[in-house]
Amino acid sequence: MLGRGDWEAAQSGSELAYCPWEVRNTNSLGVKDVEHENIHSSLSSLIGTTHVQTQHNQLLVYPATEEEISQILRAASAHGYGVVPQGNGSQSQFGKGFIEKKIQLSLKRMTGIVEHSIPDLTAAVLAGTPLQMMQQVLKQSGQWLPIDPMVSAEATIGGIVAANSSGPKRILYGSLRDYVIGMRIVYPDGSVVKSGGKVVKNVAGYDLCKLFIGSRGTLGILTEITFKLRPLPHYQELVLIPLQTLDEAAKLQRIILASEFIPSSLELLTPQFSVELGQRPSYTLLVGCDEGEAACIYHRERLTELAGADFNLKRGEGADQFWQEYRSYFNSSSQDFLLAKVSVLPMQVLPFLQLLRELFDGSSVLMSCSAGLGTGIIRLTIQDGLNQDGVAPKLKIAREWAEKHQGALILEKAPFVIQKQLSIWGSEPSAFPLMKAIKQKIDPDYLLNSGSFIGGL
Amino acid sequence: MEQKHLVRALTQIVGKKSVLHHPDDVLAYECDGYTIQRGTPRAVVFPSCAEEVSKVVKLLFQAKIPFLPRGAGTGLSGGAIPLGGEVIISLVKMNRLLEVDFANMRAVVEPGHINLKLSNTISVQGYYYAPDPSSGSSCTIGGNVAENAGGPHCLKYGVTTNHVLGLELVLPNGEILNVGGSSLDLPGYDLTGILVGSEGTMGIVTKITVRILRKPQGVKTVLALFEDVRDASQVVSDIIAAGIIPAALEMMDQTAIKAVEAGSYSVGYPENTDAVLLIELDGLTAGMEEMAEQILEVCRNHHVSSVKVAKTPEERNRWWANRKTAFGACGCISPDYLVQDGVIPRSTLPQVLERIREISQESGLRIANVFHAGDGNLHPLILFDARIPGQTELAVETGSRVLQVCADVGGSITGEHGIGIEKQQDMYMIFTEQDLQAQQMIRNVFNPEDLCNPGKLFPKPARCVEMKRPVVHS
Ligand SMILES: Cc1cc2nc3c(=O)[nH]c(=O)nc-3n(C[C@H](O)[C@H](O)[C@H](O)COP(=O)(O)OP(=O)(O)OC[C@H]3O[C@@H](n4cnc5c(N)ncnc54)[C@H](O)[C@@H]3O)c2cc1C
Repeated sequence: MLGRGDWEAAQSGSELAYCPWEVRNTNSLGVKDVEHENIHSSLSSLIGTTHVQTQHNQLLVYPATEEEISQILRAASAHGYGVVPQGNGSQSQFGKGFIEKKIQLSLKRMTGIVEHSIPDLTAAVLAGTPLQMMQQVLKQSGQWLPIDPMVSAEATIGGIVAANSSGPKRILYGSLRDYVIGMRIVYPDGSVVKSGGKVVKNVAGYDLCKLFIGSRGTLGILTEITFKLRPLPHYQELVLIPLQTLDEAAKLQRIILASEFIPSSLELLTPQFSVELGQRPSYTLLVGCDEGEAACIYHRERLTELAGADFNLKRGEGADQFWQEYRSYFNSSSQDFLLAKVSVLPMQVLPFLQLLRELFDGSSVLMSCSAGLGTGIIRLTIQDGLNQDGVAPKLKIAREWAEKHQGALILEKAPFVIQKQLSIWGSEPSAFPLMKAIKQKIDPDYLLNSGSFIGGL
Repeated sequence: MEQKHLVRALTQIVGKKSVLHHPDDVLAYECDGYTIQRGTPRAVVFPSCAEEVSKVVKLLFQAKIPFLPRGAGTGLSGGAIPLGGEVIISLVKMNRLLEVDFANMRAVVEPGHINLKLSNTISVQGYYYAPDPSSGSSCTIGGNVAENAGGPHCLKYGVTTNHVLGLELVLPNGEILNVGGSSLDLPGYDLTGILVGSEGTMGIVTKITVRILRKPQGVKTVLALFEDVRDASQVVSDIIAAGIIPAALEMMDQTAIKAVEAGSYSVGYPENTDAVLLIELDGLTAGMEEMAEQILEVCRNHHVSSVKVAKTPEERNRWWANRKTAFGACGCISPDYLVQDGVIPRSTLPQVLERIREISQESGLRIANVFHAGDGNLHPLILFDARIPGQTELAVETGSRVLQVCADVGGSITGEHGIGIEKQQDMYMIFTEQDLQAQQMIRNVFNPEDLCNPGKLFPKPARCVEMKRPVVHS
């Protein structure tokens, strides 16, 4: 088991920016100075002056314990302030609703692995721990949390769970809802609630964890999360097959999904994206295998039969490196960048890409996609030129199509010009009234991250 | 509402043949697989579609009559037992497979569809539904959703919640609603996730969208016998430590072996066998041989007395039938038995087995252990004789002591069978009052008047004070 001390030692190598929150809309008249002073001093007395900061009229607090979080929430509530939880601000682009009086609550000081039980393949982690650091520690015992979300190195596990982020390997490993086995949460009223536990199978009581995964910090502050882990694959390979047409991709998709293949990723990159990643200017089909060397060879042979021998191959760390580049592509810090996540059924993925092609054909914006042919999750990015007319209406058509096919299109990152024309979340689901009732039960005053989730939750 | 008015109103909705109300007719519905407590339902109705369920629920909701959903009644924690004169809404007539979409690997079933039937139907095309409770040939997928059922192959593939994508639900006020869907990550809170495992306390599930999987190319089943149960426990740990996640990793101890050998599917285990491990690998055939060899090696390193790989599908099926009928087989060696269900961190297996042995000695009741060793899910079967005064109570108490051991090592009081009425008070072993209130908050959103399966799952406040004190989290 690893103690907190080891963790801190591991962490000291990297210096993280203390104020990652990007402030857009500062209005010095918006927050009354007196109120601000009052809450500032009240927070300072709770957690110490050095851990309360004001930047561009925004209050930032850095609690170190669950107890401090409780106190902050109670104080915020008493002063009529809202609270916006953030890990390292890496997901902060998500539906940032503007509330005048709000406190940014950073979990940056709550990092470390609380318990890593190696033989049980489980680990409890403080929510402010960056995923990357957590993986580094787990790797020492040949284990990992099998998620590969499109996030930056600083992204914290709490933020990732709150956003339910995933990546290409989801096709084999599943998503966070398959790995979170326990949580500690500070509720808006300051009470601390535990859900689940530390064993990998557990049906005692309601599975509240599910409610918090993907809740975008609108229901409670996650402080500690316990995961089920997996052994790191002994060996992996990634086959990159250039394809000229969507029809070829469709054929391979059907065959691979309906036969003995066990792909650890099955993504189709559009030509634009292929070029960015050093591939030919055609579609590229990525087929990963994590099942050991013999299985990788078998996969490769089968793919040769199906698509010919004209492919690129990345082995072991080469594959890791490729994925790292791939992920960094989604982490553009440019203001002129849009990332949308589309979710449809696997068999609708290629028709959707076809639709996008028709929509954006002849347009000067650079649109690229990575489409999960087994998961049905498509990541769509647009770089540069987002202020042009026509981008938002095109995305609106794409969203309508996705929703008509039982799917969704959400904006993960988008400049203000797009957000003005297109909602982040799209249509409310039919069960929305129940979701709202849950929010109102848990957070009746809309203290937490208000307005940032679907339907203003 | 008077009984005869109620019966008439129910009959109007579902038809005469679909309402039972004579005391003789409802006798079979007094309990489920947990037979220690019983209650008489006011009536039992068999709706044939969601609209009928909705109408029945609306009627009962308006009349403030409590009701509860029931599938096949194989539940082992008493979730379907009517302790407060509930009307039982049985879903067995709603048993159709509505849709299979092989290309997208989805299927839609009605709640009364039998678990195993789904896999059998889609097997020809090379697909299956992964959650495989041992009761699969009789339990319903609706019941599986309510209990978040597991099974031997959940070690690698996950339990029911990992395979359910969307639900149609009749809320306790009769409203019909859809949650989740067939695509992943639909926006909003994960209501499907919270409904799975809610034991019928949030509404009645009337349609289920599940993920189906492609059958693996290859399967290898290994049977290993040990003369000392501690060696078997160590093998379990070492396999996982070697980075292998088998499809299944099951264990039975000496008493359980006696039972299965007396049952209908004996395998012929030698007399001196103290523990059996049933290990299954699946996936691509390429590389599987080496992995199997690795497992055999681990077994040999721990004094395995006999180890073999199944040579034919028949042999494999026989081993599995032997394991899967273990609960029932206890009836061959004991007049009565109580199935317990607890979870422990895998690494504490040897120590917990030792404690269970001690508890067995102290109570004077034999305990057979059958379990999903790979994920630390124990099923201690407490053998007793209900004809002997006091033994039933002793069995219940002994079961509770075993759960306390699970809780003490950081485990859980149930891994598959749920809380129901059996473990309501045991909830305090792992949750604080605060934790439980947070859960009830959600129940109150769905089921504000607690008419749908009332009085289940949560501890009874009045009794908790005298019986068990809440745990305090560190
Ligand atoms: C021999 C034997 C072996 C078993 N092995 C396993 C095993 O390996 N793994 C495992 O997990 N379990 C096992 N069980 C337990 C049991 O089979 C499961 O809990 C199963 O999921 C119950 O399904 P059922 O249809 O019988 O539900 P029931 O017993 O009828 O009901 C169970 C609960 O679900 C609720 N419910 C039923 N239908 C609905 C619905 N449509 N909507 C909402 N709520 C509903 C009921 O109110 C009740 O609370 C076993 C039981 C037996 C007898």
